Amino acid sequence: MMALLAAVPTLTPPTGSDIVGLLPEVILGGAFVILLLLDLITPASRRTWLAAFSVVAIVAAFGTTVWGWFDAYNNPHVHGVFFGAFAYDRFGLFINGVLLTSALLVVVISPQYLNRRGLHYGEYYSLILAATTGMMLLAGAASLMVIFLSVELLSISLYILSGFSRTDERSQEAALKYLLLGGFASAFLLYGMALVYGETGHTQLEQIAIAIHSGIATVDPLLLIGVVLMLVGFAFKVSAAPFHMWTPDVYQGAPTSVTAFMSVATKVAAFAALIRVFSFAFPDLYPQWQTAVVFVCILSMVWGNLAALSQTSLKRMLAYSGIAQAGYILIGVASSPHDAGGTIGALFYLAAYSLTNLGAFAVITIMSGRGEDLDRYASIRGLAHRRPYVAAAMALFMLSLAGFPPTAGFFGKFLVFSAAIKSGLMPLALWGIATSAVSIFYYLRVVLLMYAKPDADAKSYEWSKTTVSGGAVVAFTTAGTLVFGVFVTLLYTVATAAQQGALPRL
Amino acid sequence: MRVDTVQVLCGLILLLPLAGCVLNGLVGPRAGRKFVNLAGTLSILASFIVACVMFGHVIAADAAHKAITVHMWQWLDLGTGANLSAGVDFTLDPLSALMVMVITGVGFLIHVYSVGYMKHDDGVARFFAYMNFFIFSMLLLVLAADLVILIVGWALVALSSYLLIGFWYQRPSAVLAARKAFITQVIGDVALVVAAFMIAGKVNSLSLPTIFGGVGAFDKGGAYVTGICILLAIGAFAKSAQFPLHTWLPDAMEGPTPVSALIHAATMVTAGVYLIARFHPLFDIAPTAQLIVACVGMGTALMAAITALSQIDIKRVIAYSTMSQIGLMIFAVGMGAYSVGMFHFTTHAIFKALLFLAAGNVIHALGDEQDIRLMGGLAGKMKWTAAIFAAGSVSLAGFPLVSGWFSKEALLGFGANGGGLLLALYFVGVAVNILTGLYAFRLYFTVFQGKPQTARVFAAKEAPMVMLAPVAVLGVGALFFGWIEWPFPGLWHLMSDFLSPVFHTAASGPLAQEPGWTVASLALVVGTLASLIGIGGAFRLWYQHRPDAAVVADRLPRLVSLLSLHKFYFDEMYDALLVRPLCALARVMRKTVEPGGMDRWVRGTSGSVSEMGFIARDTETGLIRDYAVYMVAAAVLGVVASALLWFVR
Amino acid sequence: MILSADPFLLAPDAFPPLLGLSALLFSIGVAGVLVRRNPLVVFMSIELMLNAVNLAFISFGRFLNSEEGQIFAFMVIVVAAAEVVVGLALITQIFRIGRRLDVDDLNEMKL
Repeated sequence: MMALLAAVPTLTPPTGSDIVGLLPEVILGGAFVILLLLDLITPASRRTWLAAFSVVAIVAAFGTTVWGWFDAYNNPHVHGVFFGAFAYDRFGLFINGVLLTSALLVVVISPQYLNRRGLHYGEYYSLILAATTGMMLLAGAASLMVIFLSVELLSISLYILSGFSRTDERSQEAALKYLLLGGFASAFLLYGMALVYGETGHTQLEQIAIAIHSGIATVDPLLLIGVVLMLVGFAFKVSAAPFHMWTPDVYQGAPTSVTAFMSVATKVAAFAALIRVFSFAFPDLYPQWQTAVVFVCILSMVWGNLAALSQTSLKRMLAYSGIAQAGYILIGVASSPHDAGGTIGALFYLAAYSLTNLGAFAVITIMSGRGEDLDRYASIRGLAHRRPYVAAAMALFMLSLAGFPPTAGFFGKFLVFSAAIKSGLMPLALWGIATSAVSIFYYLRVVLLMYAKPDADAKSYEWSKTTVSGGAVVAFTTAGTLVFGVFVTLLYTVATAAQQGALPRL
Repeated sequence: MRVDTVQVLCGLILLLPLAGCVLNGLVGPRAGRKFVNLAGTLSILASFIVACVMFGHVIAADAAHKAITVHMWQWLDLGTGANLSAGVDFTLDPLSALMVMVITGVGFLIHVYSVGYMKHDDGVARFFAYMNFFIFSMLLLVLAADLVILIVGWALVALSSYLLIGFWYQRPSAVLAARKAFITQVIGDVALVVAAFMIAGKVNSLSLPTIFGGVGAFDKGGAYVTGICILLAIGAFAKSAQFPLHTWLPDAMEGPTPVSALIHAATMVTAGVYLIARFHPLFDIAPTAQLIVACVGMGTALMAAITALSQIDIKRVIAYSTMSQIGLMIFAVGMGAYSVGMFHFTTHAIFKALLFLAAGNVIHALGDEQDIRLMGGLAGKMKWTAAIFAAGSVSLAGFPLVSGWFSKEALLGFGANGGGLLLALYFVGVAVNILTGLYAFRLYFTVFQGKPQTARVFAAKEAPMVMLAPVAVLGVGALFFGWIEWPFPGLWHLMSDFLSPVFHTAASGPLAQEPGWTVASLALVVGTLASLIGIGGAFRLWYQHRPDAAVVADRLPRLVSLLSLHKFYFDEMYDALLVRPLCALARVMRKTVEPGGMDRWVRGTSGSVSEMGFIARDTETGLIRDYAVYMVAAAVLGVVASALLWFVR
Repeated sequence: MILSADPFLLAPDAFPPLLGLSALLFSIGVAGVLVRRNPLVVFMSIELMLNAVNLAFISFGRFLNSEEGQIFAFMVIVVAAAEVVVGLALITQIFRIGRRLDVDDLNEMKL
């Protein structure tokens, strides 16, 4: 009954503080439009300027994000901006920071890779910016409608990016697969949203949470089915099993720089939305959705790790590893309503994973030769003897993904496992530990291959020269992986603040 | 001791080897051999010098302030009330100072030796990077004042051991041995981690001083604390190659000889002894666990000594002897005689490093020959090595008035003083003494005396100075270091006095008491006689008669000789108990398998896991419709489950 | 389930059939994705699913007397159009490269 009486606000233009809350997204979205126009007047040989422009836009957005980190703490937007459709909170801003860092690193390594593969078109940067904007909106979305729109904004941009290599069959195939399955998953997500909307009478997360919490919306099958279907949609985006099947194909087919971006940023943004919806809007349905999340979580860890064992392509191996990593992050999600450490651990994990995984893909990207990708295991054999620094960095990324201390990856695992143990999900933690033991096999295999002597009779692979920009990205991600592993408190404090500031709050 | 001084000292001690590792790893391959040699050894020398300064500080401090814990920075803080925060904290007390001295001191000598040993190897930069990294991890392990840091050091030590055993990765046997060692280590790591969780569950902290201050929270002799201690002991057994986790150590001899000397004799394998000594406040209130540890230690000592008797690989003989001697140390710390346990650790580190390095000289001189049946008569060719090896052997065998004698007899004296089971274990120890004399001098006589067995022996040359000098320094220690502690009350007890602030009572827990004059002298006489019998027996058998290995086996009782030759059938036993059932379970029985149980076990598991991997991979048909089916199936499952959930309620 | 007492709203008994229709349409769409091999038809099936969702949104909105459902439906329509634009472009491109229009043929990448 209350739901009916809730006042519908009259149409009013957004206020200044609404715009401030959306400033990073506005900047990036604006830059996306400007970039489309700039592309028209930029000569083909000067397309690197477009990359430079994107870098400037991303840095500007990052600056406003940092500013917002302090502003959001002081201002009274406890119900979000734009009538509660968008959360202007430290949670979203934390994710923004991770996303913008990933986008920046990807834009920096892209020009040389695209030039080598003959794909250097200006639209690439616009699409990256558009996708990032979508992801940032998703991270801050506090209404089902905004969630849907931002999911689609990022997805459509990524569909195009996956098929960016227009003459490459595999790239086209990847794009169409991604598109068809993505649309399929979106339909599930939407149907779930429709049911949740119908049961609670609202599309805004805060009001949904209130409706469930106060008992206005009873917990009945339709609501639960709605929640489950929304989980299907999100699980697809974070590529958790059994909704992960697109991941290896798309990662392998898409240009490597796109894969690097996709593997990291999509997962981060979708996890942000997943956590916001499930942990902060549906905490009262925790007993019901926990089972489903645990199921997906265990399946992802087992399936991802096992399938990664038998891969022969680096990109596919990293795709499966990403599926397994999604499982580990889901451990944090599954324990989040019980223990704040779950959310904090998931946030920490996301930041650590993006740095590490991006680093690994950056190595593949910058080492790729003309026209061909550094994709097969055979092609990295003996890398350490010719490119010792890059190989050392790659080894570090593998160790971090496998969860060896003192890398950032270790603490991501440590935090989610300890949160699971504290909230009584001991079996989940044990599954996690067991499967990460399995994962050591395939991560170390890459390290061993790089450090093995190249076969005398095998054709030697032509690795590209490491450029300044590529080297800088690898150095940056290496430093991040180590710094967050040694000075854990730096990142941990920020993640804690993000968790504490998350909206909606009951 | 001032906090900031100790912070600087600890920081330097750790960072210097790490810097050496980074330099060698990153710049080494291009900078050339000279640079690598200098960076590798000087970093450890510098660390050793700092360690000496630190040692001086500990000695100079007055008795009440010998132990200090310094906080470097907060590593991880999970909020107030959480029991999983960890600081980068270091403890400096006599125990850690002693360990640091041995690690850096012996470590430095072995690094110098490696310069000569690895002279013709192309991977010398990688080698020194790994070695420096090992020193760093080991120092981290012994300096840690926080369980998390300790576990990190514990795991990094295992990692560097893995890298070094598999240093010659072109040899399949080295790779297999490295894998076997690593997997055994992981078993120990898991036990240690579970123990850490259990400790944190009770005392709400992972900081060692807090844990030891809060032992009152445990029931004395209760099941909980006994469980913790047994888990800690499993961790220690894995690292120290004790029964039943010992099978990796002999295989680990696949690594270069300096590695065997540093890691698999002097330092890493004794980390288990250190762990038990470090956690003595817990072990002191868990007598059952103490007894178990003492039994396992002495059992391993006996088993390994018997096995050493019939091995024919020079390094494997020394490896089994290491296992046996560590068994004695574990026996000592198990019954609560911590100081003598650490004393034996120190003397053992010296004479065992010596034996390995001297063996390395022999192997080098004979062109990588390790079979002792093909040696003989080397004393004429390599005078210095032979003399130094003899010094190490007398020390190992416990000849009166050399280092090993002091520590071993002191250790056994404590056993003799205990009643019941401990006394029984003491008699086993006496038997081990006889066996030690036998195998130690069997090795010496077979290698250095008698007639040369192959032509290569005639061509053997004495090792160069760089490989001889470090061994000579160790030789002096192997002869005279033990004089600092006498196994009688009232005489010099420099080691016990030095360690007493850590162990409070002079090296005794509830089980073992320091023996009085009567027991001490009686035990000393019996033990010494046993050692002399062993040495004498070896002299008769292998100097005067020189039988080959098969003949030795005939002279021993049949059961013993079979057990000895087949290393107590452990590989076969693991095969029957673990491998077969596992294989049957996973239906991945392979038709052709190499001999050697652990290897087979490891392969069996990874094999069945990758079988499952192929199944998982085969679900990837590449067909969109198949993918959609999986999604729909899962979604339907979720929908049905939530509907059911409703109706059931 | 929130029940409405407002007489001007959709009668409560008219609501379950609408929802049932929407579920049926959705299922038909799912079945279409699973069994059809022409990407264009698969696309149309996905559109059918989206429209089933739209039906649910609108009937919920009408039933709850809230306009959010209708707005949502418009959003879905717009986004679906955008998705089709990209999809058709991709299908055309794949056809141009010289592949058959059959989703079962899109399995270049395995292993």
